Amino acid sequence: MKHPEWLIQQLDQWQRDGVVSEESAEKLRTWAGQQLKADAGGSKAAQVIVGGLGALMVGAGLLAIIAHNWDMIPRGVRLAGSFLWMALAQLFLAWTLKRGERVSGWVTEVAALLVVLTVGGCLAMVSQIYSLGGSWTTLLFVWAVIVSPVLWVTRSHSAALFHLGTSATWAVAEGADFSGRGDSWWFLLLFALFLPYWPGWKLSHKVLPSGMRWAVTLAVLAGFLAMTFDSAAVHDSDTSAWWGAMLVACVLLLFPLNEEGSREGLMRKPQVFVGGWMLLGLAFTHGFSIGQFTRVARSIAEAVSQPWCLLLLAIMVIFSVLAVRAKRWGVLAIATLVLTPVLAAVADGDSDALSWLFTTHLFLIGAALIGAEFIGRPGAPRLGAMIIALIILMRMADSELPLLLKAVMFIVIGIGFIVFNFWWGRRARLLLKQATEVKP
Amino acid sequence: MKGVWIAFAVGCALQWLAPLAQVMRYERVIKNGTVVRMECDAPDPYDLLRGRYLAVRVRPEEILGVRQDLAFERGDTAYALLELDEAGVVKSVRLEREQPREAVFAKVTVLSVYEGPANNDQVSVRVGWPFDRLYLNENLAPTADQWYRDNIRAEKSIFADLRVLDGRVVLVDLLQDGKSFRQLLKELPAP
Repeated sequence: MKHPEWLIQQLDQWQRDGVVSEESAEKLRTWAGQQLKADAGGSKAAQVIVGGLGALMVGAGLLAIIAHNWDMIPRGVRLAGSFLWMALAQLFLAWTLKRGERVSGWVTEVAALLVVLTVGGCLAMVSQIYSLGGSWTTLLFVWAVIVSPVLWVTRSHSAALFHLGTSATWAVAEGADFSGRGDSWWFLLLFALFLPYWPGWKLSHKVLPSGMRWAVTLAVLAGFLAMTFDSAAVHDSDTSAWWGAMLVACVLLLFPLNEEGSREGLMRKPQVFVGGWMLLGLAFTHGFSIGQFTRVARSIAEAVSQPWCLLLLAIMVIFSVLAVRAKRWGVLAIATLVLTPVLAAVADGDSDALSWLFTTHLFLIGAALIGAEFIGRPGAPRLGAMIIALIILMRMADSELPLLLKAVMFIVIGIGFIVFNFWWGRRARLLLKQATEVKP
Repeated sequence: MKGVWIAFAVGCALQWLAPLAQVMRYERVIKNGTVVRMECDAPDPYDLLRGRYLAVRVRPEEILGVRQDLAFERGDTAYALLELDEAGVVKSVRLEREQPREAVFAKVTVLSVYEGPANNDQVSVRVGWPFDRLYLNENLAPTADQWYRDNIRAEKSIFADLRVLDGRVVLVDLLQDGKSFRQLLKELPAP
């Protein structure tokens, strides 16, 4: 059932209960009726998905026809056939563009996806007819570049997902090659071709739907990591990618947000979620890495000699300044983890320095996330408690204390956390009650 | 709206030009290229987009006796100069760093370099040829696979029938005893 339908059903009961006045109920009925009329064909998202799937199936069918390889038909006829499919799809798209607002969003979506797939079919046909060898990633790159105008003119979600998916796949395939050619820099061009879609010409489409935010975050993460590993391979550095990966996570985490964006939930800010957890994960794993300080020191020294890592560093500094101005203290606290290896590198000679620095740093972050809530700032007490619990478990695991002592400490700390969780839940319920209490 | 139509026109132009440029380039090679035949292997894998194909691997895979001072590294572009007999069969391959002005040559990619223990001035180089597959009709593929397995150790070698022009290569057919493999497949009973 759609939300407006549900609202209309509830209104009678709410009127009888005296929750809404007759006048308010009438206004709500009118509004809900208008919503239902505007969405007469069903949910827009469902229409787009079903339409997109239909176009995908048609496109996959065309590719399968090409893959069958009609080698008994002259190559000129086969080529003409694949160009004809592409021309028909382009004409269909031109028709939807001409109709503008009068055509439903899902129809434009279908037209855009058909152009994308028939162009791919055409490239595959040429490649098949002339038995062209070479890497499949080249075909993917050319495909992504030449269909990008479809994305700009239609703002189609499926074309956007295609662009992000192919860009990330191409970058990962190039980065995983470890050939040392440094070709993954071209990911920046692929991403630049996405910019007219987001944030748009004159920054007119800054806000993306939640799902698309995740797609952009994951594509950028994959592309930037591929560039980091490729850069390390180009510079014959087997270690620099580690600190480079921390820089990538930090850039994602600190990506500037306006005030409205800052107030949104964590799942609607995937760059914060992914970047934050990646940094914490890298920090936790290096809390274990006793004796790794020389490797880390070398990793940083090698990273700062690479243009890509320097660019990441510059972006990180700019984003940090913007985050300070926006008072995003929580993300800044987690972002400082990227500096810990630098301190460890300075502590030359002490093999435990890196491990202890990360442990202390993580503990302070956990404590800050809990403490912020008590001084009236937005914090994350349960996340803070989780970080501290993980540190304790980690350090206890690699300590040489007697088992009996470890057991007692685990039990005491465990009880402490259960009590904290209980007390925190009670406090939250109390605050909610106070906030919703009707004053006489 | 004008901007949208310009972007759409640019997109359509690119979508036509990219494949058409390839078509024109390789049609020129087929029409004007030198006929070259190279001994090869050709097992039968599968490509998701483009269907069944015979993976063509030229023999020998390594080019021996390459001068060490040419300092080839993995990923480098090189030029394979092909010395042919009267029938167009490749007798020997020489690897150069600079593009030759004359002669029949193919643009290749260096895959790996091996230093020979016997001669310190020479190395052997494994190269990636610009042709590595011949696409097949899916109904023909099982028969082709059977044909390949039956002939892998046959006395009569399998040859890649190529057209070569200005470093570009198009694989036209596979031949055995001068006959196209498609013709040979027609003469075989279905597996």
